[in-house]
Amino acid sequence: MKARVGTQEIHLVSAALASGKSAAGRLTSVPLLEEIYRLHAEDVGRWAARLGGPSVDVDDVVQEVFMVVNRQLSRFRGDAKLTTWLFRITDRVVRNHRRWRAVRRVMTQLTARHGERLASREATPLEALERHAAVRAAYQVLDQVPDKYRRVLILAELEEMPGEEIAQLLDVPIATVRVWLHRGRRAFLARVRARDEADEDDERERRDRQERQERLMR
Amino acid sequence: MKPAPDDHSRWGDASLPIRVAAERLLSNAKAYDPGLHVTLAEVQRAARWQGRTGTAGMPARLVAAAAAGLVLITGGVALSRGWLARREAVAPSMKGAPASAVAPVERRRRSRTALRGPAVGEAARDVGGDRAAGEGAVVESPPGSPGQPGSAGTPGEPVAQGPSAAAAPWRPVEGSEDRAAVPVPSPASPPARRVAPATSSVSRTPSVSVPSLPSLPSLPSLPPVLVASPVSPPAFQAPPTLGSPAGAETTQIRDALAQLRRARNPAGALELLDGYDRRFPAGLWRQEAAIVRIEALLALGRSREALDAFDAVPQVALDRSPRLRVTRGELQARYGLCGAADADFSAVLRVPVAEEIRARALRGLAACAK
Repeated sequence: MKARVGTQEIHLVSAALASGKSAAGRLTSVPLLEEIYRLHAEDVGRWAARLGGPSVDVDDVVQEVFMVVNRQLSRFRGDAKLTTWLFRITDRVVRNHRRWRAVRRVMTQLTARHGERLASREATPLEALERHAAVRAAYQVLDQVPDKYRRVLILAELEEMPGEEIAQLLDVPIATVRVWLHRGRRAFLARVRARDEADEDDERERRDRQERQERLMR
Repeated sequence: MKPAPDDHSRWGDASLPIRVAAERLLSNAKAYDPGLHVTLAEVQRAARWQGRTGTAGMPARLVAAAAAGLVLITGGVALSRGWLARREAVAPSMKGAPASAVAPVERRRRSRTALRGPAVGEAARDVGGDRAAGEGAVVESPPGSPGQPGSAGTPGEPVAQGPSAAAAPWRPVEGSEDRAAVPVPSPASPPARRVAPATSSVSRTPSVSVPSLPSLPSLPSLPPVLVASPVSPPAFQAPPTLGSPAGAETTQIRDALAQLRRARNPAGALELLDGYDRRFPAGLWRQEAAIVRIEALLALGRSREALDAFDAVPQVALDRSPRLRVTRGELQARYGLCGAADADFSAVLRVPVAEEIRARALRGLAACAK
């Protein structure tokens, strides 16, 4: 914590944080980490889960995001909305995590925590496995979409955010958001089509092989 | 922009199955909710740790770059200093060594190999050995034998050598901690005997002058039996302390070797060895005595007894000396023990050995096959 503020100020800051900005348009004092965490931890966790998918550990991302927030808090001037600032940090941290996904996957698979979570959330292990496979398949397609469009696509389709909110969060014009979303959807459909075609090819090949084996048996 | 559940218009002109597949994938992704388990206390603890370790405010890339730079610098220094270079062991061959050179003699864990003077024997005739006179023979002795530098009985004891050994520097052999360098005199040097000059490791025990032996005539050109490498004429180690039992043992072995190699009197050597065995039945040099006895018996043409004398040589010495083993194999082959001989020859051929030894083993195998 770089600076401390009094109780009175905390309430003011909390109100400012809740609205995203102070009445004057800029934050007059540095907000507390505790306040930011209380107000935005859930958002950050949700963004991390949406942007990273099952390949990143949401808790790790959230912790790292708030450590960055703790470091950078004194430099936050309030020019942008706090949520925009937090989303940018989350996006950057998630991208870093996705880059190191291969290494992290090996390490996180060994931790009991990962297994406990899988086991506790689903009724049966089979159900958990199926759900996990479905999510993984969805993110495999999403991950092939270029990053710029993927981010907007996820916010619009998974977070169901309105365009204006996405524009505010990304600090870009609404028209840009619409263009990115359109391109993102097109790219996503192209990947889905390619995936379906590949699946059909595999299915055809499997059927052919099965027929050949049956003919040979006869 | 929030899409209605049945709104497929946003997918443009994509076909229905593709649109359905896209919707299904997105709904699967939407269902993913791992939840948040990290608490504020954990974040604060991590932040405090970060502040304590001084990494606060330092970007991860900077830390990674600093670490990579450190590794590169350390690697460069290590390479330039040769810390990573693999040291090569010094070969024990004395070919082409100058007169004042020091012969590195291997001292292994279980036995020691010393360089000795020429040996005469009939096994060499079987083999058709073509080594010239003056070549050395290998005699192996157990660890801890007197006279070995660093051994239990006389640690760091100076070894009295032939003439030029006194002038030769006392230095360790590079590349192996298990080795000790024993100065070996050059063939051209006069046969005076002196104790090697004292060094830091030598000065722990008093040096004693050894009465010089009479100079001997040069040896005729005869093939050696247990030749290791061409070396200078007989180098003999002086007793560490003449008054001690270990010194007396050493003296007796030394005299037997002198009889065998210098005086060319294998019978005299055998007598001395018999005396050694009687006086020191559990002597420290008994393994060397057994090998010298084999050499003397072969020189006398008593090959059957030589074969029997191999019983006193421990297996470990045979394992470590392919030359000894091939000699035993040849003797066994001569007396029809082809099974045992085959085992010895095969064991010798399994390890990398000198070409001469290899040829002897192959010839022995061929002889047994007939």
